[in-house]
Amino acid sequence: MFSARIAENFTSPTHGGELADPHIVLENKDPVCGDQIRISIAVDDGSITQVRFRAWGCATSLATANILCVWMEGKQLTDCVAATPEELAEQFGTLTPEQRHCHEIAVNLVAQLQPESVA
Amino acid sequence: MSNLSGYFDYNATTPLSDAVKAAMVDAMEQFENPSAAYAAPDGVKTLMAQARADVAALIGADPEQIVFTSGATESNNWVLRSILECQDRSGAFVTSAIEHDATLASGKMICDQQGRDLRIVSPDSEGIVPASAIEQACQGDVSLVSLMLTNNETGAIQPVREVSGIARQTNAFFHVDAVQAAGKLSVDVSSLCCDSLSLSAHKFHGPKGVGALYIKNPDALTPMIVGGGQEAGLRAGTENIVGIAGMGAAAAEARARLADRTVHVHALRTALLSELHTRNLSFQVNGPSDQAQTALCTLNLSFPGIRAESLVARLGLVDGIKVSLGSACSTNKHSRHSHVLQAMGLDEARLVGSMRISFGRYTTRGDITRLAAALEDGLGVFQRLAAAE
Repeated sequence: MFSARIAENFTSPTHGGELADPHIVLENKDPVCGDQIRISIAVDDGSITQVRFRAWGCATSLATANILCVWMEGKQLTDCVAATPEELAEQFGTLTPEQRHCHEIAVNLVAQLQPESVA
Repeated sequence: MSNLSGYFDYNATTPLSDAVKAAMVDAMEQFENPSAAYAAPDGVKTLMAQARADVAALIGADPEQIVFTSGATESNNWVLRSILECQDRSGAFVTSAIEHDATLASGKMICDQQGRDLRIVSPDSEGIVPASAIEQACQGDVSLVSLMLTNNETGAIQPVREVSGIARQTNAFFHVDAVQAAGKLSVDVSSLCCDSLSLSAHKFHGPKGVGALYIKNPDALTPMIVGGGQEAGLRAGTENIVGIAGMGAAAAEARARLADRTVHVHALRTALLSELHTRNLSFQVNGPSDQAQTALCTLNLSFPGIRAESLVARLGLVDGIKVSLGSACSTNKHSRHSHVLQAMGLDEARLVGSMRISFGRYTTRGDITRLAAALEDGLGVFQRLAAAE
């Protein structure tokens, strides 16, 4: 039902929470299932230094939110902006058809990032 | 018996009891064909007769009124097909919105194919289908009325006895799906006044793949399978001897333990509700407020602000606890909520926050504390993760 990667990130999320003073906030809500993810991001000189998430949703949704945070942290903002849906899919591993909407939520979140997101 | 300490899904299925296993192992030595002419006092015919008598006794029927099937899904399908497809009856099919798909899906398919009038009656907000609503749906020509005795998701006991009178007044055939009641509640076909009643062995510690159909008047149904004349010509095919032996043993055991079981599950239910209150957990019970109208082994709960799918997954992955999900994960295009809870009119938050906990013979008081602690822990985790919402 859950891959080891999804299970681990769901049961032991490392990036849950919210930054007190984020530079960027990304939010997405799936219109059908209602899953909601909010990601707060701190950026220093074009580099993403810290990422945290809040989420309400299914197990896979929570797991992918954590994976997304881990993936973003330490990257250049421009690299995240340039990431393709396929690159994000690789982070999540194999998802069942019922879980694939979580990939779409992640793609929608990353699509909100702009190079000029941080002044 | 394997470790069952985290198992809270007895409405889905139950483990074989030791007595059932022993009966099935013994039956494996019975290789002869029950249709063969030779007879032995301890042979396969005796085994089948005993099993049939034990199943009949569980529901207050005569052995001649019991036909072994592969389970309640087959039994339900058989009744629907026999009454609606094979007989000269053109009236409506009346059933409820909370039936198992073995009734609802097959009924919809048959009625769609025939252009037959299908009347689906909704339950009230506590999951009970009012007899008055069935009566209203039974106006005019009605061929078949089918109602479950106990709902699998909420435990709501349906007014089957009252509905039997309504069906009789309309000259409709009256079928009862008793799969969640047999072996759990006292079931008496004479008292229920039904024409047929279905049950599955694996719901009361018998094997999977075997069940039965009670038929008040066996001439009332056309055969399910035609062939060698087994099961009084109603369901041909060499019998599943091992399964039938297991079902018979399970029925005898369930009947003997019924009073103890009732006390046991009542205590477990009371204990869990008490523990949840003590831990100040916020929840709602989906189902009848009156315990007298509830199969007490079933407790359907909604936790506000929580997606139960996550909670159920966490219980399984972190705590090794197995409960059933009311609403499964959604795909991109379709939300998949419980049709039972939807029919009761529950709002979206309550639907997605729902789970079914069902107790049984091997559930202990310690299991209840373990479940309550795991729920408290999981709810805390998800509330913190969603704190900004």
